[in-house]
Amino acid sequence: MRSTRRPLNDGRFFCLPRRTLLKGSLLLPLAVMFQQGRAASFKTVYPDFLALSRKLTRRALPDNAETRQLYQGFLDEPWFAEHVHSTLAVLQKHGTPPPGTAQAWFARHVLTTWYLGVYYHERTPPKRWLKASALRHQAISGLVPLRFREYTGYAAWSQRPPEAT
Amino acid sequence: MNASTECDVVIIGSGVAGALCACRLAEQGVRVRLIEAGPWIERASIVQGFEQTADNDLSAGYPNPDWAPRPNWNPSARPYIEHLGTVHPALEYLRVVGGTTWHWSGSAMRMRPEDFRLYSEYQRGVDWPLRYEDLEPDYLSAEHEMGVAGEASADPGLPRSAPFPMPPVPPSYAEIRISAGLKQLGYKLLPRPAARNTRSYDGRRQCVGYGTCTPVCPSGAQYAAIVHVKKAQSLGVEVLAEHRVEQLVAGADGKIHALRFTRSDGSRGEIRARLFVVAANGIETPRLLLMSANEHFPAGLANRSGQVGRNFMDHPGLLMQLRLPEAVFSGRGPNSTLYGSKHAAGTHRRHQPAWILSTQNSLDLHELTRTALTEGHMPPQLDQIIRTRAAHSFLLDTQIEQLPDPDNRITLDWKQRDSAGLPRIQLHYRYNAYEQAGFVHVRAQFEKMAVALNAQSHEILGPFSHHHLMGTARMGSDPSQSVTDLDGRTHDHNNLFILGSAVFPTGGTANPTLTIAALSLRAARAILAQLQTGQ
Repeated sequence: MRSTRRPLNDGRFFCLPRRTLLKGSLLLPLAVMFQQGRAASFKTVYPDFLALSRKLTRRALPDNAETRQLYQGFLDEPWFAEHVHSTLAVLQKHGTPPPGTAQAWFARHVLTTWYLGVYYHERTPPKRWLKASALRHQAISGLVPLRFREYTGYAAWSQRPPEAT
Repeated sequence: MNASTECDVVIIGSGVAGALCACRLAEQGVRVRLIEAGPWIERASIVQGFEQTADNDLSAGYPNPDWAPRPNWNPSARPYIEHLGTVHPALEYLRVVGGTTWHWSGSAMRMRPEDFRLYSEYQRGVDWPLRYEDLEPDYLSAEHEMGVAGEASADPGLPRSAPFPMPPVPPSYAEIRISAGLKQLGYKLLPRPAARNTRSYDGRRQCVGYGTCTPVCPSGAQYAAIVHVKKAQSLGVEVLAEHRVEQLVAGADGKIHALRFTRSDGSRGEIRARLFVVAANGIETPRLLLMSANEHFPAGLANRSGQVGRNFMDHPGLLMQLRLPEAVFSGRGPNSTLYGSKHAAGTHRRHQPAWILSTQNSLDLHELTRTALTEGHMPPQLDQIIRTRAAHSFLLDTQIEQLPDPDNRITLDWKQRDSAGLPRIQLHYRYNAYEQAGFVHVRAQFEKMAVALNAQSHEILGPFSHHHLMGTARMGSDPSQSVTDLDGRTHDHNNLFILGSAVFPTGGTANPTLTIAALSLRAARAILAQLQTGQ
């Protein structure tokens, strides 16, 4: 059967008017500054984000590509850096943030993302950042197969899970 | 528009009805085209889709392109169907090659003999134009085509002429425990016939227990109609994906001469054939018939009776979420392996509906975790709460019979358009006193079950839709009251057949897929006979 899909590149992207190209050239330095800002923020914010995540989840979460991707997902959120620093400070000082504060909201927000693997924020549609590593799966480890990745084996589902305590 | 192309039979819709019929016809040398609005998909890409989506519904991992839209549960999306009745069911079906059996539960139950004689037995609804005994050989053939596992002697209310192709699916630990607990109430839970391999069958592997039958079986041990789409292809059937049929062209003589389609790239074409088969579903089938209205048939095709789009039925169901004192470990193994038929038959159907009880061996870990988070729990207690609740939770479900009601219907709003530019579908839907009586009865039984199971807590939810879309082009022997005859041939157009649950005059309580398959095999014989006689 012949493909009836529209080609992804139909050439239009290479027919930009000069004015658009000029605008693009002016925007380029801003884009570079933006990237530099992100790199700077990574150096200062990411360590605190990781520390905050570890404290909230009570886990030695790895500093790996997935954690960094999750951090990137939060980056565009308003007051993200402020929330990271202040929530970590409150946790270090008091153990838990006082109810009704911005820090309490943010702690719950981060925890929800780690457990569900889905990022929820009013500025954007929900996004899945974690798959098998969402912490909810760790919570039921050994009881129920990890969705799409594990199975019990034929008829083993008729027995109690061997790992059940 | 492309030049017209020709074939013997063109089938619209590549789900189980269309795919099975295509195979049967192609086996006899008929030149068949199978046409599908949606795209081809692969099992691995479906799994990937579910791993990437943030939505938690059972369709979220499947494509939903603008050019072949379908109902979408995402609340931020514009509803595909406009709900105009007092009840707004969250309907669900897929528009992809292979259709909705990609994400069904595998439940391959027969309707009961008295389901075909509802009016004669209980003075409710209507009778089918055929009897259980007439369809029994096709039920058996369908079970062999799909590969159904079951226990022949389990349900004496469902007589059989031969055993199931495979032994029944072993019940899950959770369902064994629930079954034991419900015995004291007189519920004998039976092995649920399922199109799921309990041994290697038809080139597909034995089930290994991923536990994700719905939304998709990762191994292919559970039957999906893509099996017969691929068989049809190997028999020479041309499968045209991403071809959205928008009109059947009928002449003044009542014959259907062509269908017109639009491809996903916007180009258009036409196919001529000797015989046309609409095998969409209980919503898309009446929609196409209504959209095909012309000067000769201003109320739409096959609609001299005015019944096209009417009598929409589902199996509404109440759910009960239980928290049990013992750990049962829901979610290990197939989604539902047992059912209870205690209320599926009997004289109570004169005043309240039949219903079946389903044990649901599934775990909504996302929702369970979200609830625990909302309650404010923090690690490490949070983990313990999730683990305990997951182990101790269980879900009971019911499928309740719904009577045909001519005012429960599909109509079109020609002033509004969907994302494909077609008239918007409207659903007028309500529950009547009969169904309401069923809800009351189920609630009362659920309360007793919660006590019998010593539930620590329970919550009764619903009614919900089971997405069983039936009745909108019903079969019957009276052309003034029905759309097709007992073979699916429309009364008004000799060369137009309708397959699928749209032709069901009543819905009974069984999941409709096996009956859809059996009726398709029956219709294939009638189509072959008609082609051979040259009518």
